[in-house]
Amino acid sequence: MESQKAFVQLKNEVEAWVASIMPDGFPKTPMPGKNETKVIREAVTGYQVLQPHEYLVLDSPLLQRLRYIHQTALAYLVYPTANHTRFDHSLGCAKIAQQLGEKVIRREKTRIAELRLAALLHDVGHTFFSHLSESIMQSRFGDLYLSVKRAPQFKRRDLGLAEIISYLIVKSERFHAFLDRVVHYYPDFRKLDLDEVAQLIIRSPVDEFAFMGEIISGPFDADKLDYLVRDCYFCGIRADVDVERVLVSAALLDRRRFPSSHPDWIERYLVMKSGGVSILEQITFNRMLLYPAIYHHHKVRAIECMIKSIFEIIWEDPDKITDDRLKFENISDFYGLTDFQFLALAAAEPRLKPTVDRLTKRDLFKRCLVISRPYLKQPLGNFMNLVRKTSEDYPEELRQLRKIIWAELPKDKRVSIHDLWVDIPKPPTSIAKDPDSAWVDIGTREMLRLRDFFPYPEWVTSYEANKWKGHVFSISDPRTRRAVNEVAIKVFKEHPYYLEFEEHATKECKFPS
Amino acid sequence: MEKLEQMQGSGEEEFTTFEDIFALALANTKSSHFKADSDEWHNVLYEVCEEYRDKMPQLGVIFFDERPPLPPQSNEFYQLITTLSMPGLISLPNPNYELIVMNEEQKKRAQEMEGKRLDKYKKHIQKISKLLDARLAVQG
Repeated sequence: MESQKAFVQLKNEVEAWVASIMPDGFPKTPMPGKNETKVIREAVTGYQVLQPHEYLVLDSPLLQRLRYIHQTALAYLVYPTANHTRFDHSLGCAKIAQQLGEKVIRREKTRIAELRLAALLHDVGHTFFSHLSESIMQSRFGDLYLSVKRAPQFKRRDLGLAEIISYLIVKSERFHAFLDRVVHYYPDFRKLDLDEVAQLIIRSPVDEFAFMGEIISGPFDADKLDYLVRDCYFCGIRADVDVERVLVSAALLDRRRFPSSHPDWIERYLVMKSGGVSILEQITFNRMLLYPAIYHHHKVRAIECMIKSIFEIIWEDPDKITDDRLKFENISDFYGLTDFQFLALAAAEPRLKPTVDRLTKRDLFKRCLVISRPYLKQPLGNFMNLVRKTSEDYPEELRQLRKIIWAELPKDKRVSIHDLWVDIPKPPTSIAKDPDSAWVDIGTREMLRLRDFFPYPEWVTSYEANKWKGHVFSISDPRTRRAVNEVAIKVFKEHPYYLEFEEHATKECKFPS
Repeated sequence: MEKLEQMQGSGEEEFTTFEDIFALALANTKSSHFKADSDEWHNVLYEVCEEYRDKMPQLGVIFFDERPPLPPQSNEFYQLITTLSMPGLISLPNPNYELIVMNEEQKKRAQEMEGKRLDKYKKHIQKISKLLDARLAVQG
């Protein structure tokens, strides 16, 4: 698909959806006075003062829906207190963005207000189940998504779909008019540039304040500093990032400090002074920690497969789904629902109800086989053939593999294909990008990067070699699981994988004796 | 079992990714030792994508962040190294992963795995191999 055409298609979809959710002329009530600020407190970042335009933005239906979109999707079925939402995170992100801004451009009040607004809005393009639905959309509408990513507006950045949608929402006619009305009503914010706010969301500001993009999305951005602390806190994981230390050690550096500086480069760079290197290490370490603990936790992945199975049933035969809101023919169709609305509508559909019931009763898919390098016999066969087929990027190819396993199951133990999953999580490779790109200023002429202090490839590779796990999942019935285990082992042993599993690949599934 | 073979036959030969292309390109090089420097790899990856994206659709999923003075950076580079190292197709010897190694045995495995499946891209892949030799190869 031609990229500009794809861009216009998605833009029009987003425009129509925003117009449907955002009442014309919102807010209907008189505008609050410029001194009528409000104070809000949330669990992780504490108190912050909201300017009138900020709480008007937060009160808009577009932002309010984030209250009902969990930050870590259904991870609360594993960690009971993981009930934090995109709304909470957006608030936390705004506070940290403000603090980083105040550290490096103290006197630029309008710029700091832009940072706060961009942070409040950076996740407005998320919908139910956060990154899970984003990943489902990215593969279902892959052609459109990849084409939009190549549009000139996004050319210099590798953006996720939610980031692109956030940008399109902020640029949409209805929402832009609303922002213009509520922000520029107040004399102190008349110069606040809404286009700059949209650019910050996609990390592409162009003027001498281009470094502000790094505060919203960079190696130690407000987004990461908030979600790392927040996810740990609400999941009860004993890990932390010393955000205050980041604020002490963050600085701006003129491009002329680079020996080969070029006029095309941005003028100033966000850097970490040498005293903050340990914090950068802490950020990388914590990101690494969160993968096995939350994002790649086998139960979290099993839950994700259950949600994917709902979509598979929907798209297998959309005519059998009675509620049009669940047909998801376009990307914008995803945006009409929040987490519980999706589950409630799905529970009312006879074809989807069994899976939703299992989810709500926490009768989750269980492991039938664990795929991990230490659990494979040497030689490794064609392991590459499997690890490149990640669930996120190649669901269709994995569906073929599931069909092969399913076809080999004894008929009396054959479950629905929707209840049998091969899950190959994408290794957390993006973690390696930060040490490659985080600048460290040690005060000499030479600019270093985190990678010069911290041998990250060794870490990342060790993680991937030894901690990464894929799974074969099925329903909890022990007889079914055993049958799936036996067949999966047989299938992986043959063409094109030639993999042989150690006993532990089965043992870790904890079959009842 | 017949059904199994039919299903395996369908599509499996067609399914190739950018990792396969680079596995084969590395296998077809004259060298066995390559620099592991991510900056240099990113530059080469960027050049390959600019040149061959239209010819090999597998490269269409590779995207870059452009943040000079850093070279264009891509998550797919890190994914490539992972996908080749996890199954042991390349080795990343200590200390500090200064080298990426693909020895003769690993090359043979990659050629067996990917050679036939990527036959139609043979010419392009040979050119990528030459580029890898020229830009990233080091004395073993």
